Amino acid sequence: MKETRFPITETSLTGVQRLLSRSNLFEQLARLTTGYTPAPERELQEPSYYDYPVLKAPTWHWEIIWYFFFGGLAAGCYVIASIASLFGSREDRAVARAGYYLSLLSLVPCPLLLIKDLGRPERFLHMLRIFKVKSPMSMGTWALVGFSLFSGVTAVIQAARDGMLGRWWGARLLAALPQGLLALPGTALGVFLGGYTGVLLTATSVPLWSRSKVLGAVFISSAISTSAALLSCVLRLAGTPARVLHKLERLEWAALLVEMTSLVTFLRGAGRAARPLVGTAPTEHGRTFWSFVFGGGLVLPWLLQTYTLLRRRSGKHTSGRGLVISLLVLVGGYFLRRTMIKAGHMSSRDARTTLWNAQKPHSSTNRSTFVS
Amino acid sequence: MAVEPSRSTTNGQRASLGNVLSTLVGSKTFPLPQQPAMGFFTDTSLCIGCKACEVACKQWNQLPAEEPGWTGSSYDNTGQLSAITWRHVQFIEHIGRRDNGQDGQNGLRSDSQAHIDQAKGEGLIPLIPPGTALPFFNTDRWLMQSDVCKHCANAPCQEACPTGAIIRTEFDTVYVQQDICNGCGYCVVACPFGVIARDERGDHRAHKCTLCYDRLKDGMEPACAKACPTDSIQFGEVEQLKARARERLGMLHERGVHEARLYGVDDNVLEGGLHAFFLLLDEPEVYNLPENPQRPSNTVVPASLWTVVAALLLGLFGILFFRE
Amino acid sequence: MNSDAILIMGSNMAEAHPVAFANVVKAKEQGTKVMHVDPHYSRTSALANLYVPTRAGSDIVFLGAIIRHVLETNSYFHDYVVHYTNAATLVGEDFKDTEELDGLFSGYDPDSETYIDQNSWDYQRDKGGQPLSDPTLQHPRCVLQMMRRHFTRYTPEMVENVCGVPRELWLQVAQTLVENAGRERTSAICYAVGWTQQSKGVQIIRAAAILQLLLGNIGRPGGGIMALRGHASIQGSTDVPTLYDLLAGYMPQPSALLTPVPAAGQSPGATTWGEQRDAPSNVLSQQTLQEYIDSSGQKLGWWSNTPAYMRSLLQAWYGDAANEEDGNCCYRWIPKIIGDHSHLTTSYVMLDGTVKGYLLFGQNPAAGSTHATMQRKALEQLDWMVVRDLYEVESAAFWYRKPGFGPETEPVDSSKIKTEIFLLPAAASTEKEGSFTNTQRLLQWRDKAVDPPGDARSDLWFVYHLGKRLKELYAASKEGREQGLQALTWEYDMEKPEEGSRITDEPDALLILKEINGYYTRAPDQQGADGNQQQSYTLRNAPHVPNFTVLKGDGSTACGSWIYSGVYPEPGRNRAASRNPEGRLFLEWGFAWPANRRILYNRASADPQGRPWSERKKYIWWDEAEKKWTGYDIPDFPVSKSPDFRPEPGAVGMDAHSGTDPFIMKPDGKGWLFAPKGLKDGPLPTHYEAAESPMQNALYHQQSNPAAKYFRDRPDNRLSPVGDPNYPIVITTYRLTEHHVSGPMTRWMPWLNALQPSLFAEISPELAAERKIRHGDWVIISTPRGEIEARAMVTRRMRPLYLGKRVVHQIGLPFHWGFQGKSTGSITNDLAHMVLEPNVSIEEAKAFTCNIRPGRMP
Repeated sequence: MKETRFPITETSLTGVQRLLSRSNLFEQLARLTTGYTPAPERELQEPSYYDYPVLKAPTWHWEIIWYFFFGGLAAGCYVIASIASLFGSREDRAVARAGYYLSLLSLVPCPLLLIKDLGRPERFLHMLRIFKVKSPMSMGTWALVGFSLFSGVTAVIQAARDGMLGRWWGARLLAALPQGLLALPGTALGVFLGGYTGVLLTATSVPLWSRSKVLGAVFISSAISTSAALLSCVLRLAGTPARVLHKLERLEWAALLVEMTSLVTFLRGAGRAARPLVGTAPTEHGRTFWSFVFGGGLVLPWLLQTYTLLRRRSGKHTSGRGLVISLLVLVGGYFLRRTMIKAGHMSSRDARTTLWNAQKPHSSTNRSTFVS
Repeated sequence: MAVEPSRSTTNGQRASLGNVLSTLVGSKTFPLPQQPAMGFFTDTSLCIGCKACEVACKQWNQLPAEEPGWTGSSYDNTGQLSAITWRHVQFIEHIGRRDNGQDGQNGLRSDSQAHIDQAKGEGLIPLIPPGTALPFFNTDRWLMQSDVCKHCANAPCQEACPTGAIIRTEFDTVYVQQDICNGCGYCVVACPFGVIARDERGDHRAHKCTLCYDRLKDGMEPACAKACPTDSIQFGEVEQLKARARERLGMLHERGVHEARLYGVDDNVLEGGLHAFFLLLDEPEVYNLPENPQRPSNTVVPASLWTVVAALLLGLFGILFFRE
Repeated sequence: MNSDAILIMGSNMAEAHPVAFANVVKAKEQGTKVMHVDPHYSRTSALANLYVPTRAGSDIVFLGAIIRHVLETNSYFHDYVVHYTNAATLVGEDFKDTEELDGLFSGYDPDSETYIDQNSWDYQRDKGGQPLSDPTLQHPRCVLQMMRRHFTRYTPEMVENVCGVPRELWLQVAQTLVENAGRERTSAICYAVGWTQQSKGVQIIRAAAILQLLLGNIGRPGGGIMALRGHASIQGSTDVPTLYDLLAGYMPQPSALLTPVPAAGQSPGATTWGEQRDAPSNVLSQQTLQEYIDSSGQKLGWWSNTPAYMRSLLQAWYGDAANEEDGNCCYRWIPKIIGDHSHLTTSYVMLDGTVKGYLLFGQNPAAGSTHATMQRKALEQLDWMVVRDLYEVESAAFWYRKPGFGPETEPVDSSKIKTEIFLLPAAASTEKEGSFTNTQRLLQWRDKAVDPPGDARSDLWFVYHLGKRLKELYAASKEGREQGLQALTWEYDMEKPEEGSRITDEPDALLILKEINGYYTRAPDQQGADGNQQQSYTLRNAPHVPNFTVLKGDGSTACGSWIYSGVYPEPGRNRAASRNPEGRLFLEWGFAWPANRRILYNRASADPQGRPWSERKKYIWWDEAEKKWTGYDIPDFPVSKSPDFRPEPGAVGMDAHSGTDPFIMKPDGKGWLFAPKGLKDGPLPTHYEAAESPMQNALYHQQSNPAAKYFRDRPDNRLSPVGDPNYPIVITTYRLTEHHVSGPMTRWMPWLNALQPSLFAEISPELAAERKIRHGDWVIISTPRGEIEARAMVTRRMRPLYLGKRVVHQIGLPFHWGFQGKSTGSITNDLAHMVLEPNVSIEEAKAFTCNIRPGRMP
């Protein structure tokens, strides 16, 4: 049986207000970052059709969340690896090596997740029927294909050089190939892969995703930060020299900084549309976002990282903290994508915000205040 | 109103050829010059809410019934368009709007009294009212609107579709090729009107109004327009319909229906207008229609730029840190 | 379409007749003013220029006040009223009005609760029997003055206090009607069962008729009163009647009652053929054809053709057998009625076990008829029942199911029910050939699209083969009572079976149409010639009659229903099937009885001299050069009778009418503002409260219709007393576009069920607040007859009414649900009572009282 729809009653209204009380820290943060203070009474006066959603809810669920995560890692690792191999010193080769391997490794689940997500998985090849510049998904698919190619080849070359393929002539031939040359287009594709997911979400009608235009920036920086975290974590366990790790830590630190900046920019730009992500009402994902993503996944590790980097001058160094930081960042990276998708679902269900989002700039004031 | 079969079929062949081209480059090459764009003009000022369009659509397209459920949202138990509902009639009750009272006790009194005073104020009723000065609609309104796919000139769903399943037909309508759609769901989030949907209980492909492409091919008008008893739904050449719509609006304004307005007629909606447009009797939001929908594809460039900026920044950091 | 204003009252036209309403919308686009007066704000109200909320059952006050307004302001159409109505005619001195007798007319018999003696209602007549009249309309006994007095207390104040309509709103309606009348303009009134389903339904329609006559809106383009019919071809079922008290073409069914023959004077002016004589009251009436014609056939006006029509009908039914020497023409075989045999009254007889068997053709009394609980009990008393329908409707399933609450329905102890039920699958409208007759008397032929599935057959097939078997069964019988059946002409087999159809024994619908249209039994040219060389025809080879004017009383013609005569004038020309959308009036689209006239009494569209009242409303006029009536429509008047024709004294038939008497069916050729005979509850409409009402009758001590049938002796038919605090709420019922009547067809269709899945009650926010009802909750609605449950639709479309100081709440319910089908729900008709309108025995389902509380049935 469908639900019975009726204008929201006073009681439930006060309920909402209580939830949004200023006392709540997360709520404070939400209002601070978005620059929007929810006003249920006024929003109720905005016309809408029995609050039926204006948009259809996205059809994307856990597959996409994990794809975004792994896709980011694959791209990030490759990019870092390439930078390391191109600009790094001899011992930075360790980073490159690990990067290329991990890139390929985290790339493996991506196509599977995407195909699983399709309504008709057996038709996944139809994605390659056309090449459509206007459609981020089309471009993304092609990028993924291209990147897999490079990532694969690069990794194989790496393997050859590492002597994993034995000593026969084929292996030697592979090893001789100019990895650096491949790395350049590969990196370009990698950057694309790491960033297009954000662009893809932006190019929809869902207010949360589309209102502010910097989601791509958020995702690419998150891709780098998580990848840096993953690498440093792995290398640290592999006992890589501190000097190398140090570089990664700095990169991680920078990436986190960029990510925080772009995320705040995103929230500010999205304003009211960002409520499902940062708000604290029962239907909103603010609690997860502030604790796992912004707090635990960005601010905390960044502070720790800063602390570490400052302490480093005095030469002391503990690997334990490094591991913790990396894990925090990885978890944060996952929850960033998770809350972003889930909040997107909520956002698409919110008729009034959708209509507000599609208003002409001027007409936000003096609309009829009748609720039937 | 109907298209001659012979003509449309010849166009059909050209079209199918054109489809391939267009889908390859993802741009639109339609309409063919000799086949004008066809569309709907839904005039809600004539709608009597009989829902014949909804049933006619289900019948012609053999769509399954929605799961029955009493919603209590006036006489609308369908709620919204879906993968299996391509026409949907909305019911909006604006009764006693100028009534001061949820406090029932003097509900009707103040209610009708208010109407009368106001009517007198507007000189509609002198003391001995000349009945012929009745307003075109009584002050209590029950708005009814038959919603449908807007067949946008620049259709976000079509722009988003990564497989080329969504095309423009020779009638310049937006059509989902079911043999190609793989249910990626990108069109679902792209549509700013929440029209196109993936059939989660059925074949998991994207569905929406086809503007009865099969009927058009045979020179028949779409089932809903055919079934509409009051011509609230009119089918025809978009340009002619738009002219008629503007004319109609002028007529209504003359008759004092000042709240009447057109939706989707002028070309700045989605930078090209809609091929299924409406005459509304209130703000678009009242009908859950976005006042000023945006083309998602427009965000691709800026969003990409920001991404690149961030990427470069990070790249620089990386290079900086790694080179000693 | 030609109307300048349309008043829709007692009808939810947009929802129950959306296709007809399309024309109202078109008219509105052209500037026609559409007004809707109704207890509940419906989809009709939404499109109207003016919506007036009123109290169910108060219609006569609303209309009466308009009539008074028209009379007081002298805004009636004077010339029309003087010449074409009986406004000037004087009423007998001994007639007493309800104003004098406090709600009763003279001639009321309290014991039988009927107007047993209506002689006092008659006109004053001169020696010659001609009605006296005063063209100046000043005489105190003339109809117009009588009406002034009768409606004097139907004031705007009364409208406010009885209908709850603010006078400004009422005045707007009155004003609009007045302004859109007269020479230049016309208005139409549309009604439906919102009026008829009241204990005074006929009188409400009378009030509308009076109003239209005063405003000159009858017989003119854009005028008239539209009776919106509830089903496909309900009109047809009264034309070729399924009604117990009518023969074909509105000739009354012979009745054998122990009452004196209604006597008329020997005088030339007498309205019936009857001779003055004192009939003993213990002799059954109408035993012979002559006596039937004497008392039922009129001597003056068009009905003077009754002998010819009756004779042709008998000829059609009994063929040669009708040519008896005694001239009685097998009349004796026609059953005579001995009382009220209507559907609802009969259901009580059924309940008493008197009725043994029952055939239901697409009827669903178990859910669709008033007081459905009693209906179902009555069905249990039957020995056998045949149900012909598309699905297993409630009436066919009552023996193992009954209304349950919630999705599942309670079982019934079938062992206690003796009724043997035969459910026979029927063919749907697309699966059979035949005709529909709609509100505007338009016959439209319907072709068969496909064979019905399986054993499903058309009703025609069923009736035909049932008849054949009965004839077989009684072929050998010597019983007198079977002679009629034996003599009945019953040969409608197809010459050759329909091409490509599985069904080889379907009767020939066109052949039956031919019999209805009429045919010559003897060659027309040989009329009156020497009998023994006369060639006689059978139905199959006989020439068709062109129309009813050639019908004869000598057995040379046969005709199944004279009003339909002309629908099939010659072989291969079925006018009902013609589909030519050309012309001003689309005269070649279908066939409108009588004689394809689109507007009845259209002589009234011209002034007494025969000129159109106005260029704008030009329709039928007298062509002086041609010496005949001409115009856009077929004249409903003797074509060559000039406007200045005056009848000879003592003239009979149509010759008794002058050239200025448009209403040719009436003995005096006038439109009856005052009805001297023919009605069982009074010559003028009078306001009575509904049988169940929250308030006293504000006008008279007589609370409700004195002549209505109350069935007070029936314990199951309890009525709540006036102003009963236990049942203070007025309830009215209606249809939704999404379903049809009790839903026997629509509730099996998933598409439609999704559109309206559940029974709901429409309640005003004020009442909801008072009763603590939340929108969407379940509520229980109760009357002394029963209780049902429904979802609460709290909406401003329902509103409390303010009658003087007091508030009256109204609720509205659709009545589409039952316990069968894919969407089930409570049966609204379980609430309704059995009080029947005296003239047509219709229940009062549109205005009764109930109570409501939140909750569900146990």
